[in-house]
Amino acid sequence: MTALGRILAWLVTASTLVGAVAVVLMMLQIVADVASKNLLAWPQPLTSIFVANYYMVIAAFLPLALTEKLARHISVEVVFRHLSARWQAWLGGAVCLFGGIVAAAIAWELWFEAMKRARVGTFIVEQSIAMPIWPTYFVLPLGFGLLALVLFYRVLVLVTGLAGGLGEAPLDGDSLPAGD
Amino acid sequence: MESEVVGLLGLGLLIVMLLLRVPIGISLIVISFAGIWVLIGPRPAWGILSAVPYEFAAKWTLSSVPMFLLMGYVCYHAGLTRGLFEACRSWLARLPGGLAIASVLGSAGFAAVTGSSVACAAAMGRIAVPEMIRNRYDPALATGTIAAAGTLGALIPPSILLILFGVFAEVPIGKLFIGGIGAGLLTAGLYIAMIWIRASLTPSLAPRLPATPPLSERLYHLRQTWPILLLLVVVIGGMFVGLFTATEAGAVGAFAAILIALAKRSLTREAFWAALVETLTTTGALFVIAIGANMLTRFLALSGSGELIADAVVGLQADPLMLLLGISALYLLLGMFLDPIGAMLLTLPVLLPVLDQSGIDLIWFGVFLVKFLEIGMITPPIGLNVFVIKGVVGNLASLTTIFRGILWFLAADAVVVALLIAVPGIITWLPSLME
Repeated sequence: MTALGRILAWLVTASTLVGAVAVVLMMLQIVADVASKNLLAWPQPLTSIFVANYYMVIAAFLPLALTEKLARHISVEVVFRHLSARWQAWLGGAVCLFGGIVAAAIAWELWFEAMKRARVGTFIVEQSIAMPIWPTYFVLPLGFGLLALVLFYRVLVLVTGLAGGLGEAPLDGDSLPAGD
Repeated sequence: MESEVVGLLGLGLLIVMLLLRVPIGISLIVISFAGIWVLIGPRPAWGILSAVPYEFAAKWTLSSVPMFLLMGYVCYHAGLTRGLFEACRSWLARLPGGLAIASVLGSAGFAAVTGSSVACAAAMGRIAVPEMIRNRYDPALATGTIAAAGTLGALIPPSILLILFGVFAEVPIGKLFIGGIGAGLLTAGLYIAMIWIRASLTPSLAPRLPATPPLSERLYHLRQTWPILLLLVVVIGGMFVGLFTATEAGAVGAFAAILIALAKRSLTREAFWAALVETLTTTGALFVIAIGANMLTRFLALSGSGELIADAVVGLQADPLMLLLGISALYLLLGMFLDPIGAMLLTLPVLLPVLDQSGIDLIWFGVFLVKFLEIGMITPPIGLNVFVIKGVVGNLASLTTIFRGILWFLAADAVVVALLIAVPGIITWLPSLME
């Protein structure tokens, strides 16, 4: 169990690193584009494709598992917080199992979509440059798949009562809201 | 089964799932997927599920969400906002309720670099509440001030809620941002007036500080606020004069914040990593809900139940004022239980058709909506800002005390809302100058 948790923790950290690099590159590329537009009246080519199709897709989907690990996905706590610890564990486990199945199904579907995009080699043309974007479709099944794994892992820890190695935040942890 | 019934049943089931604590994003995706399956079959349902997430996230305009988040988190973790309260305090301490007034102004300054009211309340709470309690301020006033002033975070630009509203309602985010300034300053002004009057009438609430610091000290503190003032000029100024768009402003702001923090030598590797991790988790939590809300919009449009509700509402009340009061009551209620992003994204698919038919200005409405969602952040039983303050102050004040302190600010908010309805120009005047 601990070994499984450690492997998952490693995968989550790796996905976080890639996400962090994407966020930093997004910032740098937009700033370079703004500077070059204002100073040289020459917009950097392909900026919007890199930002929207590469960095944004990575920043939106790769951190799904990290968000679950830190219990930062947003839910309505109004009933849950009044339940006894036993019921909280039951309901929390059932919801994780359900969420895991949903995330796995989405990952499955998006994997086929990504394979389809890879086969036809989806690209976008901007200023007569053809920029392939098919590889970015694989980010979605990876993000949802890793989320499913973290959710199933939570269920396993709850059911077996074994100590985990993921270092995840507890289910009933006070999760802070997002970016309101 | 009639398609409208499927839509309404879907909405009912959605509420059940939310109450069972299924994450909002997952609930929205599951209900929309199942609803579309029932209405037009499995192939279109799978088709929408495989297309929407990518199409929604791969958007240039939405890149401002992670960028503004990064800017706020860098400012917070690198301590760029620390000097704000000190400066306001040293200049305003002699006023009746001076420390509380300084906290409101400090929060307004912090709001200009963050899009989140929780971040605003947490940052100010840590510094200002202990200071007020030490000076024998009434704990209800001290904590209530910070919880309420934190809501300026989402009103004064940048604002994550306004970006999301702009994307869903298809209105320019730059105009929404500039519109938020009027409502934010009005809120801050009324909070300050209310504190001043209360502290003048009941001096024991906020004992005056013994002495004003010398001018040299006040000037020193004022100079310490340069990072925030510089960021403010760069982000709002650059956007206003057209050097960059509201979307690009986030990246420019984050970059400027990093440069300033590096110049101040306050950006450690740990602080930068913490800012990046928070940016990523908030982005992840937010996008899965936004994608679900986008699918719900499609499901409701297919079922026709969105229009059914819109027709019913519009047919019920021809008077826009009554409609606004109805919407206000709805958000006050939702805000009591839901996170603002969840509340907004859950309701926009139903509400936008209503607004379209009633001819309400969407720039005005976006800011008005955010004001209401933020009121929800400080109303019992679930007032997230209140919980944040409670977490920060520990045993210095009970939850009841904080909520008691907030009542006065809710009264001020009622005046703000009435003024926003009576004088829409408070929101729409500044954006109209951008044309």
